[in-house]
Amino acid sequence: MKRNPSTQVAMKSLFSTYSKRMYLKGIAVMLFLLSFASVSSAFHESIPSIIPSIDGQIQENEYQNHYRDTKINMDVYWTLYKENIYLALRSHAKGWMGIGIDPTGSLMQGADIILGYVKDGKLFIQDNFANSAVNRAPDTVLGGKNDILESAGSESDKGTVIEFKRKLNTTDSFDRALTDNEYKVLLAYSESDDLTSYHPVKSTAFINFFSGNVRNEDTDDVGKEGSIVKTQNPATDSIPAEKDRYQSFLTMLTGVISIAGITIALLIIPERGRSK
Amino acid sequence: MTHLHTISAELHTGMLVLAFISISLKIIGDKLGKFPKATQVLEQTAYVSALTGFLFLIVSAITGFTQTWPREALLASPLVLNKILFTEFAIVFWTIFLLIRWKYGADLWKSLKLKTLYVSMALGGFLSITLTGSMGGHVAKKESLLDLFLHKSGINTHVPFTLPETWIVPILVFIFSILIISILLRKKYKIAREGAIHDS
Repeated sequence: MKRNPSTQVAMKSLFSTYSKRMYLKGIAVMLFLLSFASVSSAFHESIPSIIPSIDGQIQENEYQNHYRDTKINMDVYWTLYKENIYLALRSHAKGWMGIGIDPTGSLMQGADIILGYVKDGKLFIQDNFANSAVNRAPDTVLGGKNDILESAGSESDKGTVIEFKRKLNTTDSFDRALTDNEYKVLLAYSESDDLTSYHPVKSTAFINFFSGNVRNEDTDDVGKEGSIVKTQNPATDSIPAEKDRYQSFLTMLTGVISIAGITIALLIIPERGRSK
Repeated sequence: MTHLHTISAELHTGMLVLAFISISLKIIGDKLGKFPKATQVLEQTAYVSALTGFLFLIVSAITGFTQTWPREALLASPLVLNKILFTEFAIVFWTIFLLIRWKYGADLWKSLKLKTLYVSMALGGFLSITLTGSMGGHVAKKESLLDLFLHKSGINTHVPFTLPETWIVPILVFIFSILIISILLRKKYKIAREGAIHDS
């Protein structure tokens, strides 16, 4: 495309002293406005992190996902962040409570279990593995390792809260590597701090920790009010099917081609009176 | 690294909004026929801030995809898919904006066509980053200042924005038709001009 003479002159003069001065002024104005914006933004609340704080307290909307098991009145909260899962459990009892993920055999056999209790304000938590249908042992005893990276808990008249963080894939053979799949999840708690005490209060749910979808074993209902409570989680509001993702990609491509195509067409079409 | 995404997101938004405001003020100044020096500075400001904002937009897009949530979680969210969609649109709008300014310089303001295209790109880019910003607000804070407006407009950013397949082909055919017509018009114009030169 040939440039007309006036354009060429304008391009050359772009680097003239006057133009450079104007650029410097432009940069100065931009920096001034930017510094003003920075100062004013300091007065605004900073964007909260999506990472929950492991402090033994569960704040409203702290976690991206929430499942309330109404059968036993126990809550499970979780957030996935990078390669980690932040998980919190809350029961209305003052004894131990635990979560068992993906039992492969009968009852709890093969489940990746984390359980703990709070005594005198201190949390006692264990990374366990169910080596039989009714027994479990700490991973460290079985030859694995403790993969709880951070933990905190609290106990009050309202009940007990346990929060912890671990990797989605700990690479420990006694832990379940969590992926975008539905897992059978065992929930239980007791009124006693004795970890060997039987747990009559127990329930089962099917959770996809990635999508946030939960299926209750008893009701088989997803999203039934009172059974499953989900916070407004953008990652899990409605999971797009593979077709939707493909459709989204096609939409993006169509949009990009349309914008670029219309621009190119407009640039190609000669402007009236331009030849003069 | 998440901080890098937060910083780049804040910076590209600020810079690109500044570019759009500068362009808007420049147009108002031109319409009024006043403050020629100020409008010239605003024009330069728009270019420089759009360039800086564009670079941070790229950084923000990359860090958003690689440093925030696990990829499975990102692609499982309709909101994030919409955010990616509008980020792509914003990148295209601001790329064209910068290319026009780079190719034609401040001279573009002398051509109605270029001026319209340039301002349209700034407007498209601004609206795109406004929407992505609102979606980012939902990702981080589960709310956005735009919610009231979006709800009243019936726009739900939690539902995938997808075109039905039956629309995609006609749209693409329409775009390619426009391209072909514009090429034919250009050829016709060129022949007519050569004829006029020959006659004279």
